[in-house]
Amino acid sequence: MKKKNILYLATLMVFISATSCKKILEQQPRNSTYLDVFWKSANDCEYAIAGNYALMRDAFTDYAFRYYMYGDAVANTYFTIDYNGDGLEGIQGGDYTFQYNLQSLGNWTKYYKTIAMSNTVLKQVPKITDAQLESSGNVDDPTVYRNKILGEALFIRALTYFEMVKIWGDVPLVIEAYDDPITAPQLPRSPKADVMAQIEKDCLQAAGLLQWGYQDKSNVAVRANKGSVFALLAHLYLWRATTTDLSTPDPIMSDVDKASAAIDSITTMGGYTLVDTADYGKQFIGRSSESIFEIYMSEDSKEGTNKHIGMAFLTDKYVNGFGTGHRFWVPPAYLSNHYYTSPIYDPGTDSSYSDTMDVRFRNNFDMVHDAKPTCRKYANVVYRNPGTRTDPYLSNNMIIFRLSDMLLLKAEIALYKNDINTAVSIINGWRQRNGGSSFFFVDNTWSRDDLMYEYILERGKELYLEGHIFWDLIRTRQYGNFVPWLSDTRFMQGGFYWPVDPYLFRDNRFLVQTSYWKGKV
Amino acid sequence: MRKLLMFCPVLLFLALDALSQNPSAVQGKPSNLITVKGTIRTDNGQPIANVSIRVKSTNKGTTTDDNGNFTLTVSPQATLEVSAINYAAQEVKLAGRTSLALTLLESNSSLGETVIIGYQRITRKKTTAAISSISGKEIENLPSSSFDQLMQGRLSGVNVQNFSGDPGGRPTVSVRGNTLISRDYDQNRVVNNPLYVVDGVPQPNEEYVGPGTSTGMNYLGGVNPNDIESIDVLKDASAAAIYGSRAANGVILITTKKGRSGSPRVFVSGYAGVTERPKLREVTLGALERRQKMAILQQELTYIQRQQLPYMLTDSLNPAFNGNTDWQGLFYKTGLIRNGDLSMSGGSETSNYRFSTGYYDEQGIIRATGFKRYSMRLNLLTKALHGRLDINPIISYARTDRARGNGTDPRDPTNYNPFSLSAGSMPSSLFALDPNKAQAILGAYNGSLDKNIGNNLNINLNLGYTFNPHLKLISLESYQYNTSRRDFNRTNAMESQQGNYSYTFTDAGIDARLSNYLTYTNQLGKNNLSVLVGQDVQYNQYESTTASGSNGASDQIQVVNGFRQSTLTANSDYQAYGLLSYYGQLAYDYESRYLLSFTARTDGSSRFGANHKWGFFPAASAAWILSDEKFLKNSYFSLLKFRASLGTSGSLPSQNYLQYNLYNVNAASYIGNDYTTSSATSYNAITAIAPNFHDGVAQKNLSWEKSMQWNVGADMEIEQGKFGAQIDFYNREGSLQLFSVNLPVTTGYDVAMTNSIGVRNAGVELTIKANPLSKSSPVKWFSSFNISYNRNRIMNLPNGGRDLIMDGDRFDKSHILSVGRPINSFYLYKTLGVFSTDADVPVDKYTGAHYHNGNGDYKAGDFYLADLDHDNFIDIFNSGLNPDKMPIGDPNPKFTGGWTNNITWKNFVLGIFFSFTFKRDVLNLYKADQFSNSTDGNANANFAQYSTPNLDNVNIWRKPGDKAEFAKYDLGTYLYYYTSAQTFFLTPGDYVRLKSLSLGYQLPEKVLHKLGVGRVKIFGVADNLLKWQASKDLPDAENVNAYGEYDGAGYPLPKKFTFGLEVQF
Repeated sequence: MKKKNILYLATLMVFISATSCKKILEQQPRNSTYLDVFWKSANDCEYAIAGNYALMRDAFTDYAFRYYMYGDAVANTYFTIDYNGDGLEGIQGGDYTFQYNLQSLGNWTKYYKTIAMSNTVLKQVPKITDAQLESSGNVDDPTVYRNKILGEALFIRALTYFEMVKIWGDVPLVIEAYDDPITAPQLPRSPKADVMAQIEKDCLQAAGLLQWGYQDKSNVAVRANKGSVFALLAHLYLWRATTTDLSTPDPIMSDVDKASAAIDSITTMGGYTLVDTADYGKQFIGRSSESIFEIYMSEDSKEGTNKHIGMAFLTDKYVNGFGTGHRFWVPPAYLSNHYYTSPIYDPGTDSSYSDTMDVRFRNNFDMVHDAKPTCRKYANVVYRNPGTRTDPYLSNNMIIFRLSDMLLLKAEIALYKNDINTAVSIINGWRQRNGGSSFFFVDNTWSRDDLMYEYILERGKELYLEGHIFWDLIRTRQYGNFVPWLSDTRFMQGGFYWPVDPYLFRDNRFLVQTSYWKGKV
Repeated sequence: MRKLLMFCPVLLFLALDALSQNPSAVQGKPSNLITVKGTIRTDNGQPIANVSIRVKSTNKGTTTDDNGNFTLTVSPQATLEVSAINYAAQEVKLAGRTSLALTLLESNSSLGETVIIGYQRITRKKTTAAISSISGKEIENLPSSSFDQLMQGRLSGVNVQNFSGDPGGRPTVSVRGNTLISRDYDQNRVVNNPLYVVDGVPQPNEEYVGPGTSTGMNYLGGVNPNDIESIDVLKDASAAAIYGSRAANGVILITTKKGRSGSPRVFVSGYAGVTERPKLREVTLGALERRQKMAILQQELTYIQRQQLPYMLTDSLNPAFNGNTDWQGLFYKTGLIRNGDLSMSGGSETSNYRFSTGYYDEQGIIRATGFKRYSMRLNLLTKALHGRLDINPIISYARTDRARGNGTDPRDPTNYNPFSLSAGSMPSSLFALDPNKAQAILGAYNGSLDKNIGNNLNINLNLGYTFNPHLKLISLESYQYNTSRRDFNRTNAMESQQGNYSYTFTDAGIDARLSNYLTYTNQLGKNNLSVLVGQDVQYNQYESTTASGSNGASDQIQVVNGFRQSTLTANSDYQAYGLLSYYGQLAYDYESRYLLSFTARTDGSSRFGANHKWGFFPAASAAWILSDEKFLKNSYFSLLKFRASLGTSGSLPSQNYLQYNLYNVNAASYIGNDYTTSSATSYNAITAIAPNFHDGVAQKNLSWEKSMQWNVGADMEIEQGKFGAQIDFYNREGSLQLFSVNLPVTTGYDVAMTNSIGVRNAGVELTIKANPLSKSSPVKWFSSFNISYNRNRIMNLPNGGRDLIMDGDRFDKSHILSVGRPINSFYLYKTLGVFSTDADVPVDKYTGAHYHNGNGDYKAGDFYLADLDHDNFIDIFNSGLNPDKMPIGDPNPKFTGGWTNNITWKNFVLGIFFSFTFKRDVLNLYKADQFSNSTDGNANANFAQYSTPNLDNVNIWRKPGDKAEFAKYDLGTYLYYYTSAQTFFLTPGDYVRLKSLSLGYQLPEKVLHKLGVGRVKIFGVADNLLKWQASKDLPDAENVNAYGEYDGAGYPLPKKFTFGLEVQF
């Protein structure tokens, strides 16, 4: 019947129209790239590794520039944090349990984001074909390029773990990118020895993949190269030599030797040179001739920050609109300990001596006669609204490794080896170079301990506010002279490690609190 | 994709075209049919318009015109069902007659009314589902910017809280309780919206941007309430399941007015009135404030501390500090409200039309706030192909214009109030108000520009083809195009002389939809059968663009132009989704007494991964009409019906691309460089890209959120509608709601969605209607009362059911999500009182330590907060779970409802409408903030600078031994005993409101004749006239946000008085 046919036809039409609309159920994002379409070219590699560095910068600078909180602030004789209500100053007394500090500085989440990105790069980049890498036109040798990216990812992962192993000791170790993070396991803390072994392994592998020097000038120091890896290795070996067993001050000599060799590679192969003292200060803006690795934070590409730790020391003399107060300040005692601002009377010559001609004193500190002197090491201010001189940002890169650090470490190594003469010559050489008074030179009649103290003074002058000093004090066991709250007992109990934010225990039943802090948090 | 979609209707047209090519096939057997003409009148001879005449057991029918006439082509043996609102229904056996003269008797019964249940309309008597309805008449000419506000208290099971008086703002609307749980405190996402369906078209309600970015306009504000014919709310699963995927939170169906056959009729109506400036909050002014503050300082400070008193208190002769300014007066004003509507309708037997246009203009009671709407709607109906094909296009357009007061800065995500005078920010009255200062404060209202325009275009084409009296194909095509635009500007002076700021936002959303379904209705003996099968396809796309520039050179530039490169920002977004659905409904009844209905729908959504796209939502319901049984045939009951239903409905995640492992481009975000307008995007000048480590995991295994609901109910009607009642019991339980769970930190990711939340809403709804006066009484009184009780409870939480404290709440985190508790329960310290003397402070019997917190010991005059974990120590940290706080109090209203009364006497109609909410707790943050404005480092200065309550009226602790209600002022003790998160500030949120009082007078016939017009009505409305509330603290117990908080910074609910005229030509 005709009528029925029409009915069938209509029904059929409805269903045809329905099935042809099925494609409507596939909608791809246009507001974001995603896994399935990324990782297809050398440009993708560049963006991804930039992402990895960016995550590392975020992890290191988050919450009051935490890199310096761990590395400098807790050694409370170097600078003082004033009260302002957030409780941050509490860490300077060695009490890490204040809730806000625990939630921020005790929390390692951002470090694992950096590591997860490195793991992702290490998983995805090898899948990119040579042809894909060459397609963008600026890659000459795909293998070299791929190795470079992989080497950088390995370095970032190693550096991040190295920070963590210094801060917390044992930390969960993850070196894979999960296919499905939803089903990924919760991990316990791995022994710090395992973590350090992994760091060493990553570094050695990265060293094989990366080159000395830089093909592209714009990457100098702010992207990792072979020199960056060796600098990290030197620090790792010294840390491992001295903190594997906290009950003894004697370092593991095999690691000390490896550290020495790593530094030798840098000095012979790296092509780094010290910045002339006449140009003192350039190294803190960034990309100086002695920079081995630093985190890019320049306003040249709007990547500065208005929360730089340097800013906490600055007053309206340096930054328009700032008041005369500054929350972070340098205790006068630090200046007199290091630069003898209260002159030392020498009965032999019947004269008083101070060390204030040292280029580092003259350049790095200001208001030295006030009750609250300040540090101007990082004061490269750029105004985002230059017309009104408002919206100030600091444009100082974050120095992680530089040649001076490496050269000074050689003195520490010499002292571990009881090579007094080398240590003396490095320390005196350093003082001479910086215009220090010869009255304060050391000589080889000094005991190893006294020389270690002098070495730490030198580190304290050279690397002030560069995130090294507290770790130096731990390695050299000189904390007793500079960190009043850290007793030997507490040190041996691992009491310089940080507790873990209780928040992180919520879903992870394998996690345990840092042993010193059990029952205290 | 778009092409494909456009292709679909084309196919359908082809199909229809094929049908229309062959008229003889379509006409079937005309020889069997006769044309019936008829007239329907009341018992006193007045013709009745709009009576529905339909052929029993078919979809065929028509309505009468103004003169009560109708024409219908039917088979000679057909039975006609004749029904009209307010008249008793009739069944007429035609028995070959071709002309009919029928008389309908007036009745209060509502059984003849029809309701929409999804894709079809049936009589109320035959529904098996829980449905609440109101007619458009009830909300006509009430001064309100959108219809959702007017639903309050009028529909059982629907909880509307008009928490803000902001014109153009939106209320919270929930059907049978809230199910929305969020990890973040977000005032814009507290209560989940029901699905709104306007003339058969489900409205897209995605919000991809918050009100701080966009115009923040109520997307329902474009519908003119005076265009609404009826509102039906599908509450239970059996009704809602036909809308499957998004029906889990109830469905609200809006039907707009249609044309009527007959000579053209023109309606003109309008009203105008005022919105009243609210009563100002009590503040202390001038010398009294100084005296009280000085007294506090003298009492509480030591001799040494008293040497450093704030100048503004001590220097009473300084003209800057001797004001008595009530700052509230600067912001409030009286507003005007105006509305005009014009509509015309008419038509012939084969076609009719209705066109309406409206204008609504409401000025807010806060400076520079207001809402304007220009709307128009055209509804055409033509019958073609010998009446077999209905062609019904509906076109509507609305333009809305919202003024937003101080224009909340789009850079500030926390600030979306049009005005801010919360306790923590109201300055002391002592500051003198000089013209410069007034300018600085009011500049935000006067000098800046914040223009918010919305345009809303809807084009619907509804086609219906009748194959035969039993079978009909219906096709609905709809296309919606919504755009909005916001232009925002702040002057140099307001930007701290850093140069002016400009911001612009535009968006465009399209929603295209095609819906085809076949209905079949037949009667086989005593069996009635109705079947519906269909298919829907929807495509929705949204694009937005924002741009801004700061540090500009000239206030004259109010667009984003001429800004320095480094201060410019721009971004745009694209979102799209598709939804494909198949559904069927089968209704069967035996003798119209035993009713059964089955519904099933399956939805496929582009939001889910390949293996989980489809969700299936079945439902079943049954009803038994006892009153039609012999044993009840002649009882008082004109209706007694029992109903039961069971079914599932679903909801969708709000993100479109969950199945993709999304990456963040420009992923760099650094401390000190994360300011939204100019944050870093790169590392070493190379764009940083990283996976979205927050929640960007590819979620290919997610599936539909489903909720299961049962409902049992009864409907009854006594003495032909003299009394009626409807009662429903329900339990709705969602067990697969999507929620983010924490992932292992070592994966780098924070959270991912899983189907992990369970929320149960259970409750009772009761509606009673009565016409208590006798039919002969000159006064008629219709009264309708409804009350709904809903109990809300969280059944499951992710990560092992752990309690959750929301991120983004204020400092004193005062809400918790906890299994077994209602959503967003308060999380508070328990206040036990005020320590009268130091000796009252508890002492640990072992250590001798005084009761203390991290910052010191408690002393006389402090609040005594209960030590819930018995460690003699109050944990004052707020982020996360706190052993000294407990979940207490429920911000979700438990009882809501309303009471409508319409009293008619001669030509007068008096309407009295109350709405109420009972059993709700409110946290009075305003009160807390008034006492704790001085807890930080500069306590005395802050205390002096901000407004304080009138301490003479407060039993505040002054000296040891006082039995005080309020603790002493917290002047920098750091004991935080005035934390807002304590039970002391909890207050009952119950209220009853005389929401509207209206009086209308209809001009008598005689006068009308003289004037030569059809109908004239004069009316006055007083909106929001009176309220009664349990709390003495709150200025208005409804003016409370959805989290149950009152912070004093919201928009007060004004009283409105309007007077209007309605004329029909």
